[in-house]
Amino acid sequence: MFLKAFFNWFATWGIIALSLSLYYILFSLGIVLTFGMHKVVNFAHGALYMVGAYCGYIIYCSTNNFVLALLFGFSGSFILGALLERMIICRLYNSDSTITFLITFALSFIIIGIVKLVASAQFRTIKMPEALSKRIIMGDIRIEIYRLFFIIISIMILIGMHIFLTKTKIGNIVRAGTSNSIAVEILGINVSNFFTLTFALGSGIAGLCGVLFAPLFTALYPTMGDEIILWGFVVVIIGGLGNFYGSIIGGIILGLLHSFGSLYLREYVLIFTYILVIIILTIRPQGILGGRE
Amino acid sequence: MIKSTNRFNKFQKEDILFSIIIFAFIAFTFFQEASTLSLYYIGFISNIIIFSILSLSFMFLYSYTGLLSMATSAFYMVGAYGGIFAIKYLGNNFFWGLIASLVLTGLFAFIVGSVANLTRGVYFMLITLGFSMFPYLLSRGPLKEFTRGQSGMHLRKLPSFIFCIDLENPYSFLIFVITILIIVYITFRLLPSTHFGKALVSIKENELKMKSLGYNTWRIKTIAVIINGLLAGLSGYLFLLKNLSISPVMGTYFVAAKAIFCSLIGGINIVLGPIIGTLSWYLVEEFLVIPGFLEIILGSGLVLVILFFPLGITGTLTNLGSTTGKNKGRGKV
Repeated sequence: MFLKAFFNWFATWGIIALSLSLYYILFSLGIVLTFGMHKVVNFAHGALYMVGAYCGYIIYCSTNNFVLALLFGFSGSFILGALLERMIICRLYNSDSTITFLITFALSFIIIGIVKLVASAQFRTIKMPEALSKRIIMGDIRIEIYRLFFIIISIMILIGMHIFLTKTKIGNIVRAGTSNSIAVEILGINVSNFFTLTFALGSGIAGLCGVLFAPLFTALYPTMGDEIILWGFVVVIIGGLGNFYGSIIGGIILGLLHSFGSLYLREYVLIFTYILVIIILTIRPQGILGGRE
Repeated sequence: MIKSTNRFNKFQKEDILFSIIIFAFIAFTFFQEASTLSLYYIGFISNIIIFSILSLSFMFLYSYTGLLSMATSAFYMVGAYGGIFAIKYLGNNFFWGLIASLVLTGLFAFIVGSVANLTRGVYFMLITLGFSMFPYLLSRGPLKEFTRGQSGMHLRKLPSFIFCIDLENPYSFLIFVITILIIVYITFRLLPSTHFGKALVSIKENELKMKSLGYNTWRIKTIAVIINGLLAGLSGYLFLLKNLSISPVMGTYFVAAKAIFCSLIGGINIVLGPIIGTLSWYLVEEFLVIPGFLEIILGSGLVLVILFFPLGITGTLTNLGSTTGKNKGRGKV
């Protein structure tokens, strides 16, 4: 009896926690990749996420096709990310981390300003596609189909990212460039193109995540990235700055903390998160999985 | 990069600029007739000065010690809330508020500084960013009964005042704030020639060397963070006296980013820089309003300044005439 109740509780909340974790992981992918490459603290990532969500919204409203919206969310952020990297961020690679932080912050300011101008600061929502808006009810367990869809898609993206980073040639070059870009350049490979690609890929995934997650929790508004960007950094810090697999662990920890924590810790959960971050940064600044510097 | 400390003892171009600005402010107050519009502009100038004290507190930590503290906004908020608690519960007195806000920010800054200085670089920035969320979250969550959450707190009446200055009169309040600004400015101009200032600058230049010379760099840096906190708290308290109403928005990291922007636009490593930066930020915000374009203008101005004029407005202006001072500014970007 007790076991059954526990199982019901676990199935309901576990799925919520898992989807939240995956959301954090998908969002912070771009931050992890850029930080791993050049120690760029990319605050413009939230703005890129927002732009992706808006692109998806436009397409979804005009065509009512969710898959197309996902594709456009991805490509909108991808293109914007590539442009930003080529025009501004590539100039910052060897400079102080504070300067990169400030410039990316200013960039997000500009992007938010433009979106506000074009789309106004109104709240907008992406409705769930009808086919996915139902619920599975098994006894006491209720599971939204959309959440399962979200979990499956994000796990597929993560596996794809893992294969991209470890099995393909481009991924190998990116990883090599991350650890020692000069050595790769000596081999005759133009690293900067690959860096642009990685940056754009990270932004594209953030945009995709913006569209994919919009039906579940959040409305769309121009400053929607400013809230999630802090959690993105928290994920990256917990897992290890610049470590892809670390960020998966960080995302799971943060997702569990935020979903189960808000059940029991209530309003203390955010403070508790920041205390955790400070403890990790002081004791183990390289994160749980990060290597030694 | 601050190379010779002698530079600070001399009367420089920036001091002349500073005195011109102060005289312009004072002249502006004297030649106003008492109308609603002029009262508005006097309040506007007080706001500029209060925020430039905050930017100065950030500048002190960044350009003397090389630490980028995102917790500046948290200190600002703690100062304002400490002041309002003291005035509400201890009595309607300027000094109770001042003491409370300074003690609270000092304590908080001590905690932040002592923990954050165990690390350095990006990690310092991220730790202070984490700490900077505490007052904001506490005032919205657990302490909601005292701080009234998101809606903020309001003062009914200004504390009755100090010596012979009447704070309720916007003219005398402006003069009062200007006096504080002048004191802060002169202190920061003279600081690099003192022993403590030299220690700070050398920590920025080469911390390992300072350590091997036997200095306790952790202690010196913590003291620097505390000074940053005290000054930001003072600025927050003045903000409370000026506007009579405060809200948790003061503690978000956007306020810290604004202070950082103001310092960078004005010019890092020059004490006048944050003041000019804040002035130009507020002027743009006030007079260059094309509806909806504010964020775009400010953001792109920042990107341009950081990428192409790393010395900032003040640095570029004061370097115009001299041929030798080209690299005096921020040095390594």
